[in-house]
Amino acid sequence: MNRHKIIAFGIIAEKIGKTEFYLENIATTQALKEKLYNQYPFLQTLTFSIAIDHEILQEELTLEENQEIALLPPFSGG
Amino acid sequence: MNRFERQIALQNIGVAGQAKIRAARVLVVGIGGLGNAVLPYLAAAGVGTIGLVDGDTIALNNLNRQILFSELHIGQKKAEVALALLKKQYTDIIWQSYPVFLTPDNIVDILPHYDLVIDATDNFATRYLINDACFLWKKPWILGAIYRYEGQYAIFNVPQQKGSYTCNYRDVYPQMPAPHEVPNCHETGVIGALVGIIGTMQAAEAIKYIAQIGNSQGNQLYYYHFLENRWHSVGLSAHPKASQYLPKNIEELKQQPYASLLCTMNSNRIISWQKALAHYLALPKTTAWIDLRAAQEMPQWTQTPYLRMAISDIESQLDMLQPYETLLLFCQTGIRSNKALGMLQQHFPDKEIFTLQGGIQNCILL
Repeated sequence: MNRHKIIAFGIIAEKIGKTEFYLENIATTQALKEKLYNQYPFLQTLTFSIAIDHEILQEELTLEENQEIALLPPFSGG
Repeated sequence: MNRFERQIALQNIGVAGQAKIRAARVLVVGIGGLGNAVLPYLAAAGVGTIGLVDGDTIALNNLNRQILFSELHIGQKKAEVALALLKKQYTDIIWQSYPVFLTPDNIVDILPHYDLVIDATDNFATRYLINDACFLWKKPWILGAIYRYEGQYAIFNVPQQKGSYTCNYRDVYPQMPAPHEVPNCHETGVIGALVGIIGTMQAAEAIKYIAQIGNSQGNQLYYYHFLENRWHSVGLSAHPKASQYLPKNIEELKQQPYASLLCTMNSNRIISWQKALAHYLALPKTTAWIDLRAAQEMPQWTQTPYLRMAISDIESQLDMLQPYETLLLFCQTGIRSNKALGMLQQHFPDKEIFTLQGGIQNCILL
């Protein structure tokens, strides 16, 4: 069974009410997005990037065990 | 004794590094919380030429984080006050102040005079404008941004060997977020020390880039969580769609839709219709609603009494506004009320003056 730690930043952490959670049995980044959109529909209309083990995701990948996934919205304030 | 001897003494800087810092020309866009943290450290380090861009004025609620300013400065232009203060403190720097908001038109005249840009703004329109202009002029820039207790920063578009450049903001977020998708500081609140941390990191990245020391080479985005005391770095790479959204030349830059720019200026002076109405109901005697439209423009505002005043008549009708403490300005879309806001702030630095979000077209109370 594979298990991934998800770290949420900014408005995403605020809307889901936590900065960390775990997802299990996700094989690909496409499956990851589907699961996230399903669980948190607000993500479908929000701008954010995904990083896998501290590297930004630019093309779909097969996930490996215990990878850390970060959900990265842009910040605006200053 | 030399003002810079303690940094010249550092192994990697030395006399040669200090000469690079002296020769550098840095443009700081936005003199809010981030700009207030960046500017003193750039100046103290001896950056030779510093430009300041901001069309906004100082408000009382800026003072928890904009540490250059005091109550004496309320109502004055940030760029002018910061210039006067810093010029006195650092007489050997070439200072240039631009008390305007950055636009696709004026960036063409300003940007070529600088080697590095610091983005200390509070809105996406200006941030994408800086990104796209820096891409066209091949200049690096340093992002800084805040969301509640979190901050992010990065250096973008750093020249590499063989004429290539590191990632830019559109590699992270190819398209500008929709208006109001991500709230900014005046909506969410902000603590001064966090803006200070991120602004100081921007200054540190600037000095590292200029003096060519350390590992400030781009392709990294950094996050900091103030409450959890946690840093997180993300390695960046080119986004396959980024280039299709970047302008190819100045004409394309001028045509890009940074338009919400106009409406998000003076962002801490924008109030929602609901909040404005609640404020009026609490303080009806000292609050004035001002419609800047012509009488025939629809829809009419019917929820409260209001004054009608064309922009061209404001200067001659100031007496009418004297008795009020709060002025709520509205028009069709927010452009005229934003303009009136700037004029009225000059005349009434002690009044609370707001522009209604999005104009009456955006009002859901009707």
